[in-house]
Amino acid sequence: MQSIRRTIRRAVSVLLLPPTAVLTACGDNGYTGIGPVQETGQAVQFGIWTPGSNDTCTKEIHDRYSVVALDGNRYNTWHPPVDPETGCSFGHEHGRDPRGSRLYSKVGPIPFGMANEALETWDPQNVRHEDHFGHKIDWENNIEFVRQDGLTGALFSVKCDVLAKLHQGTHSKDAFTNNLHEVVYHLSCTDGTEMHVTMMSAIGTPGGFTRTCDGTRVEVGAPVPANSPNGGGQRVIPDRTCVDQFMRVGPGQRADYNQALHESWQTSNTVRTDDGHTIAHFNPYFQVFFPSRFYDPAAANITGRPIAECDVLDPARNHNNDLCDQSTSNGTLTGLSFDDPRSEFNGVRRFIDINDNNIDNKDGPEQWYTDPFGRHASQHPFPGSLRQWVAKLKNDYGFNVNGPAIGFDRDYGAPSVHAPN
Amino acid sequence: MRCSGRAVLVTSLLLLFAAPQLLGQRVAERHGFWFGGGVGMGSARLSCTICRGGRNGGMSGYLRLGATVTPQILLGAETTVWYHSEAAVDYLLGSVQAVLYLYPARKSGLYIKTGFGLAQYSAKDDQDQMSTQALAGQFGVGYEIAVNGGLSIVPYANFLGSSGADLKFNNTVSSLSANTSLIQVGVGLTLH
Repeated sequence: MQSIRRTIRRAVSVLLLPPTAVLTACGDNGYTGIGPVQETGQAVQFGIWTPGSNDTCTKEIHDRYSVVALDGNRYNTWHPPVDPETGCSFGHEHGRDPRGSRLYSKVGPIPFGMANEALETWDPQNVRHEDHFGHKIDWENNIEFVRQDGLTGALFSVKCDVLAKLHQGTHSKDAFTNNLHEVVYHLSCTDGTEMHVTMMSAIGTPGGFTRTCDGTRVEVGAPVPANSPNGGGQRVIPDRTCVDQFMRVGPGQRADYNQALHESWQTSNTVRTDDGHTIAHFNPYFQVFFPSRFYDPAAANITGRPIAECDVLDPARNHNNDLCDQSTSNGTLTGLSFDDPRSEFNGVRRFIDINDNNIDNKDGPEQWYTDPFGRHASQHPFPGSLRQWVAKLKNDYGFNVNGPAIGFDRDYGAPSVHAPN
Repeated sequence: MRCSGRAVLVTSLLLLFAAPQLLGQRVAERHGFWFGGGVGMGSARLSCTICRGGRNGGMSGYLRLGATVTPQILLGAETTVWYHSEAAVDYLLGSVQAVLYLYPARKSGLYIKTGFGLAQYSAKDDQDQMSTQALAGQFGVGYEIAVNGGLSIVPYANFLGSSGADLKFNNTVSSLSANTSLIQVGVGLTLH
């Protein structure tokens, strides 16, 4: 009975998909992510979202936003916070609508969890499951990558389209210990720099994180999976120390929420061959202001909630209509739960520092297959591999050509969006 | 600066195209060693995959010397300089070339020239500098209007271009290949 229901659901989903919602191969004649692919099944992480008490959409409506990826599996993909057809709300958001990106015509819908799925095959004993809420997309078209002051700006110009997705959950304890998070990165520039990479990004050292307010390493516990590799970069996450120092301020002082509750996931990602040659490197920093959690070893589930701190802030502080005031109607509401839609601590304020995009692939090929971590790059697919596409060139100019911050002024919030988000 | 540049440009072009008729084709005798120099306007461009590609106007000039092979063929060496400064960035293009002058008519000051040598383009501000050095060639045309004895006033126009070469940024060799070009118009003096 359940399989019949699943078959019907899949048929309905296929019928409801836009024509572009099918991904396929990329070759040496330019990257393309769109074309016919035979659907062979559902990804492990497909359909894992179920509505909470504040959400009005059904799971069925949610899972209509899906895509069949290169591996033949069906994945959830981007959807707006509110379903335009029914008007129901999902209660979470995935960032900027990728259909506005100029890369979308090449890339198509972004599958959520394809690298996680590859890890299921690559290392079945050490899988990494990530929730649905954390997939966040941002993009920008035609942005200048050369610093515009001084000599370089006078002589050179490189403009790029960038479309990035990171699984960046900022509502649970997951990232306190776990450094593996799926990243999807598409970049195309006027100088020929182009890459299309999907991988599990190892962000910093597993088992702990870097404290936001003073840069101290905080050890928390064992990561999942236990063999998570060390990566470049770091996960900068707030903890009780930062909240006490910058949020719980004294009389007349103003709470500094930016210092208290800022996350910066500083990735450093490489596509690398067995002999150590780095084909591509990119290191975007994914920033979140005002998440719905901070690390608190004394709290339940080691997860502190900023909205709960609003109840214990000094009423004599310099309020200035701050985030707690906005969340609690100037202190008249108390005891709000972390997932209350009225809480401003929901992780909808984000931006990305694009940073460096280095390619050393002059001799090609453009199409590579790597393990889920971007390693063991090979010209031939192997079990658990992911297809990557890197332009045939070397873009080491001797000076910095790196992306600026994108999305700084955007707010992905909606009245219905709430933690977990 | 801009007005004086335009004046040089207009004067040069007038002299180049109209002066021979106005001055009745007076021609200096061409024999022995010769040397000369000139100033004018130049428009230079740096081209590469990420270069902005626009042309920059600036002052330019040359110094040249050589020997007369026949009254219609001269051989020599020439150095060319172009300079531009804008928004705290200084640009310099220099070239040293062997040049060949051909005078189609013995009784005319009209010449065409070609040259081959090296060119270097550089730019710097107070923090960074970049340069590229490459083989270069040039073609030009001019008219020597005799003034007194072997002295001539010479309106001229030149095009100089370089091959692609690696670009150096703060002494680091970049993966960029760049080439340069220069269009010059001006007035010079030559003493045969």
